[in-house]
Amino acid sequence: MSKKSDTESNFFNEAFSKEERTRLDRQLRLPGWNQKALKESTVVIVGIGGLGTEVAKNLAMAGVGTLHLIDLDIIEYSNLNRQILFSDANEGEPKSKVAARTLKQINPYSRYFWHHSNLEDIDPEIYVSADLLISGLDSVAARGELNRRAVHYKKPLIDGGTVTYYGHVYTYFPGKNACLQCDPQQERERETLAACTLVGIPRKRSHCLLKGQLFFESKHNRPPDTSVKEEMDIVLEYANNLTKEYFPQESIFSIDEAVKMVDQHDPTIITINAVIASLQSQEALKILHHLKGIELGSINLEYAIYNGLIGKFFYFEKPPNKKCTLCGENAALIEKLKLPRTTIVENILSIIRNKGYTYDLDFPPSFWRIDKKDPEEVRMNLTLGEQGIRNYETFYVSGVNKEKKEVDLYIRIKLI
Amino acid sequence: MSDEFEELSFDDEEEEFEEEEIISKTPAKSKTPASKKISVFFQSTIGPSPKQEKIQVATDAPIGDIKYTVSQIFGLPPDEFHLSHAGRTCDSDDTLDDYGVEDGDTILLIPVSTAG
Repeated sequence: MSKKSDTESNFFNEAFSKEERTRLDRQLRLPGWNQKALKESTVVIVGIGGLGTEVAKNLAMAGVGTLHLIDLDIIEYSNLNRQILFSDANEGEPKSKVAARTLKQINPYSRYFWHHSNLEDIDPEIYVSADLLISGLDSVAARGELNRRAVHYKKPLIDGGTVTYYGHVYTYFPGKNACLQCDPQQERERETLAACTLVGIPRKRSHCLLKGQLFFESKHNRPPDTSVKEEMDIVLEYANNLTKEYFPQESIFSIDEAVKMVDQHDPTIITINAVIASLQSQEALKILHHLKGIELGSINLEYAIYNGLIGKFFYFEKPPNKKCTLCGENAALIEKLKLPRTTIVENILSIIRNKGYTYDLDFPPSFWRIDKKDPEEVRMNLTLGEQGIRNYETFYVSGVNKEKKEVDLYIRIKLI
Repeated sequence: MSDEFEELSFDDEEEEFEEEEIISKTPAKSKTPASKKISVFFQSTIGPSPKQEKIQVATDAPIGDIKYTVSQIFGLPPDEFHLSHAGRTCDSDDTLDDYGVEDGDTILLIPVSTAG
């Protein structure tokens, strides 16, 4: 029988082997630290790239017990300037898989589950099992999808992002501050060439380069390979001839400028990634303690910006948006239903009627599975089990009213 | 600068006298009426040197136009930042009125940090 003091001790806790304790020794000495709380925690990291690899490495080394690693990408050689977990991998291997493999070498005492998938198709039960979600994503749309899950499952979400020498960290804590939908992030406005400009004269300097690119494509039936100088020279010559003709006051394109404008890869560097990922990781460790009732300082609920060019941080508050479609006053309602797998979906209609929802009998509502990359309409005449509905799946319901007003409704299914 | 931006003028002289105002700004309770010109502090969080400028802007001007003017004054390409007021990212098609921006408020130039 262990004494209570032993289960609270970092140094003599039976949850850890002697080797594991020795490995973690220096952090066990941190004031307020509780290693067992971390060991019993589950974190889902979505996007295992520049930020995700760093966060995963940090949390694995800190001894977080269970990590789920989600990424749909494969490793490219150009990842290796910043993504430490892939150093010994081959091009083309799934990022999540290699990350899990490397993490197991870094800290064999934690569990790593890899998911070579987009985040939408992931089994909802994985998000439900998480204490915390972390985003290392590179698109606004994907962040929105992850945010929807964070709001619906009431999970804290630590978002991070970078661009050139800058980055941001923002923790959404349910009920405390804005969710990501309260103030949707906007994509960078990218230069594209409208079809009408294609035949006309270039109206902007940048059009000259786009036309150079199109010139190459018309000759070779494929886009130029930005890693081949001869191909970029063709683009550049065409572009600069146009520039000299139509924009004699402006500078011609350099080859580096042309490469960056043609392939449009995000410029990114390990130092900025590491700063942002470390901030995300440190907030994660505090939140994991907090969720177990242990306070290590306080969670930063402000939006933090790091400017690496001047070495400074900027902060501002993000109050919840009352008009937010996901968490605001008139947000879509969510009904949580416990149902056997054998439930015929049609029967859910009477359940929601009993909850005060009405609908036009000639146009009954349709149900959509949204825990999927491509939302799928639910078949009303089949059972939940027959169409493979998973535990905690959410349906979006269109065409229902409550108190005579049309409402958006979500139904979350708990299978029993 | 083209004619459509003429309402936006850069007020250099008053800048250093207005520093206090930023620190102890207390937003007025009444909503600024449309078509009014107000002074707003634009503060960059990006770029190689931190900068703050007081600029007079029309509350009903498209934010896209304001953003262009700000980009000229700060020497930063307009596609490299968003304008952010009180925790809300301003859409180029909206106006300052849509975000309740008032005289003496601060608007931040924030990075478009969407990469992972």
